Amino acid sequence: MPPKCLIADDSLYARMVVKDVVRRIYPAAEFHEASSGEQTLSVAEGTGYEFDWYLLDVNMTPPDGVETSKMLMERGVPANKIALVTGNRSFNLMDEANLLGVQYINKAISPEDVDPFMERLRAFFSRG
Amino acid sequence: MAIDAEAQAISLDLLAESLNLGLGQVIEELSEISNSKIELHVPEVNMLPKTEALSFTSALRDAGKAIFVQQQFSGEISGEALLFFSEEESLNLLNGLLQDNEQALIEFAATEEEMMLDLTNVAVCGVIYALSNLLGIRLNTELPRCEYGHFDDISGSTQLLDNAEDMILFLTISFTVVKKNSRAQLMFFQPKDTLEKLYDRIQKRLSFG
Repeated sequence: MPPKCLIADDSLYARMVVKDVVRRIYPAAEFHEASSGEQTLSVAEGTGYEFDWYLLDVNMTPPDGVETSKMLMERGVPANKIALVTGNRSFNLMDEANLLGVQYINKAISPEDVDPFMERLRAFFSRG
Repeated sequence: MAIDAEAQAISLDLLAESLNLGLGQVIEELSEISNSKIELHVPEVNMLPKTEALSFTSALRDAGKAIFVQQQFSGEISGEALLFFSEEESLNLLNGLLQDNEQALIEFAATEEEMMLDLTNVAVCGVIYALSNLLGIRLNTELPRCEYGHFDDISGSTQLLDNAEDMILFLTISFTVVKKNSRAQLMFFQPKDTLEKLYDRIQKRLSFG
């Protein structure tokens, strides 16, 4: 079965980048997309929470990525399936991710950062 | 070269994301310096003629005095960034950023103007750096120019309203500092003649992945 991935980001461009990089790791991966926290919860519920990975932006239309993670976990999604994929380098946010048990992954911020970003995602995928 | 609506939409999306990333890092630095939690909200980006964008400043005109920081940038693409803070919001920001032991409310004076200039300079430079980084181009920034006063006085003393048909990348940012709401408006003025270069760069960038 190809892995199923839910990508949530208010930026279409950011979703394109994440999808492209995940495809380099798993060419057959299946994707669903959401552009807000609310849509993320709706898509997850609509598909029976059957995603292998939830890649969530932090700064998106409420609920933000952290709150969305908490809500997904309340609905039974294991923390090790959730990653906050963000440009935010905040220590507060890293602490919060650690506390929740979800992964914190820095977004690619330049073309040179795509390969390291792929490695960060690969490390997350291999956790589960 | 005609720019179709779809290309414009994805270009604006990419710009919003790059500006978001740039500001996110700047705000994190401010947060660490001030030991305050600062939340950046989802920014909005629109492409408008300068005259239309400036009409958004009516709220600032009504709010009384404001601080304006203008910064030119040049290189493969050139333009101008303009950051607006109303006086009330800039004081909210400064008071929010001060450490507890310094937290006597401050009045707007020369020192505060200098602080605002430093802060806004950091913000504008951070955004321009993020833009150049994401597009893979080199951009040079000039020294910023800071003005404090009523909008109409400021706009009358600058070339703000020249080339009114220039397109503007109009970005509204809002963020919360320690339970105080502070709202800033950041505009990117992109002259028409370099707009196509910007789109071209963005299209190249979109194919990097």
